[in-house]
Amino acid sequence: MLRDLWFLWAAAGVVTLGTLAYTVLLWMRQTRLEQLVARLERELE
Amino acid sequence: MEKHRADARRRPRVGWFLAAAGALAAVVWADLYLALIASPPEENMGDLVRIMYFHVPCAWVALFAFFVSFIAAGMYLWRRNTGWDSLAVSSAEIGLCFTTLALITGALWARPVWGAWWTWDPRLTTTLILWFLYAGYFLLRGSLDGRERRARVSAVYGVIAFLDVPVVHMSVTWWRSIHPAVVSSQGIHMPPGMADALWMGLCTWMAVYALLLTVRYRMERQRERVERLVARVRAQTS
Repeated sequence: MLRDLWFLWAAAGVVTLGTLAYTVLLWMRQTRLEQLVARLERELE
Repeated sequence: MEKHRADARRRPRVGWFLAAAGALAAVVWADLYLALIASPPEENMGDLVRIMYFHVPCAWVALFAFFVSFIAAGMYLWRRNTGWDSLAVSSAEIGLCFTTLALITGALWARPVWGAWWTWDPRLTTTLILWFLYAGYFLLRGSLDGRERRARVSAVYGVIAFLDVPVVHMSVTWWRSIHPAVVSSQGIHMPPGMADALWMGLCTWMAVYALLLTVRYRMERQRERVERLVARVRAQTS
């Protein structure tokens, strides 16, 4: 019973936390790119 | 006026993302409650059946993401519009992430139920091949120079890689498989209480996919803009 719950919580955790981590990673990459665009546009002005 | 517009463009647009992510977080909590607490345990598997409410939606979202990538790749080859290439690569990346999650959750279910983390079952094998095919897609993209060439070669590869998706879906019918066929063309093969939890899972993770695709697509367009600006800066300085 306890062993079953370990597998269940591992699966739920992998999916939920994995998706959350990917979302945060995407948002960080997007923010960094926006800052880079702003810097490059300033250089071109 | 022009400066104001440029400033607004530069400002990170967090409002819409936070609103969508907040609403989606509430839906995910409801899904977790239904999957982990409210739904009934299964007669033979007990609580282990709850892993299905994560594993099946992940596999479903992965196949759907590859389908979107396939359509976008086909549209790029037809129209030669870089927006389609951005959509194809964005959806393929999310598909690869969800395939990874489906493989991990599948192994976590298989260990206590089948007594092994992995077997060379047709469904498992074709899914692993699919993972390698799309991992290859990203290796290929990374190795190609030139915007146009990278998009064209990736689109052709993306269309060919997708051929494995119907094979994954049909593998339990075509070959002798021990993998349960929970979702088929006849619907979901589960008792009503469990089918509701699975439907909720499918809808929730499809909504998560839609949000991720929006963010990833915008990121890809931004990345292309950076490439263009870098080229202009280089041209100006040389």
